[in-house]
Amino acid sequence: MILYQIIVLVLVLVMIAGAVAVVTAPTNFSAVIMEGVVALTLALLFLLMAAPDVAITQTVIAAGLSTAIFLWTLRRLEKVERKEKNHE
Amino acid sequence: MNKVAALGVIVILGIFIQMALHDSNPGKGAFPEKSSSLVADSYLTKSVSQKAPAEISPGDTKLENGAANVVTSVVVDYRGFDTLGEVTILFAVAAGIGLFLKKRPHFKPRQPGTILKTLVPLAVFFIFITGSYVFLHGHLTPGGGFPGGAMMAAGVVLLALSIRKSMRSVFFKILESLAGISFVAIGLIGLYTKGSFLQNFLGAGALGNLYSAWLVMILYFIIGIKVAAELSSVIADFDQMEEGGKQ
Repeated sequence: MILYQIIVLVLVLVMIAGAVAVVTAPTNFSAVIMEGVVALTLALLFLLMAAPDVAITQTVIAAGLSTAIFLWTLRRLEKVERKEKNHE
Repeated sequence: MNKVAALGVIVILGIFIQMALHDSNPGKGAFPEKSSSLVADSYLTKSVSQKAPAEISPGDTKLENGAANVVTSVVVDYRGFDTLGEVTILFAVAAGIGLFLKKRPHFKPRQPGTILKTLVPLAVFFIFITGSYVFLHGHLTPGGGFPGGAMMAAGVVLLALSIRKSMRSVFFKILESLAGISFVAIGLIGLYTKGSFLQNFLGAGALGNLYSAWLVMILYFIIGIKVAAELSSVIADFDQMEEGGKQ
């Protein structure tokens, strides 16, 4: 029981650190990756708390798909920024 | 300054959530007075309109709902109408993204590499099998239509990255509409034969069997197809946007 609580505490601390890292990240890319880390840690927590249904959904959607879509959008935004710089 | 303010808001929100969860007064917070007065309790014992059985064991045939996985029996059977609403929200998201990202370049500027082109068909095969397993076994094991469909959509992401032409979302949109129509049609069959929308008209079956809880199985199949098609159409729209040479 104590072990379980320690593991949960460590995971929560990792999540908080990850969330702070998302806000203070130097580049957008690293912010997106850190967000994926936070989502994956949350999925692990769900699994520990006996909610495998939610854990599967969290892993697939938050850690997988939305990270992919964020990265897609980010690449597009960088392209637009580069074009605007060329115009100036 | 902004970041400090954001952190402060998050901390205050966290304190509120903590207080709400640990309100120890009976009837408040996460601890109600008695659990048997909640509707969730009769969902767990599968006894909303009949007397609760003393014990639920594998192989029972006289239950309201034959799904061994309680979560799916709530999500699809007792709360099926809410699920229809959720799927409709996803449809609205896909339609909105399709509206804003409407462009149709023919070929991508950056071509996929050899590794991607060789390995993706193999990987996608296994991803599709896993996804369909997750939604076809939704009534027995953890999972269901939403994660299964999202898994298949993740396979479509890989496909979109590995093909030379950009993907078109029309096919996915047609598939998605068909799935939505059949969801509502099954609900209407329940209304016609049993008297209320989305009521179980196929019988429960034996708890724990593969061929049990027919309604849950069929509806989760439809939801899986629908979610996969919706997310894939979002991905296809993003894939079309990729070139963006002519703004």
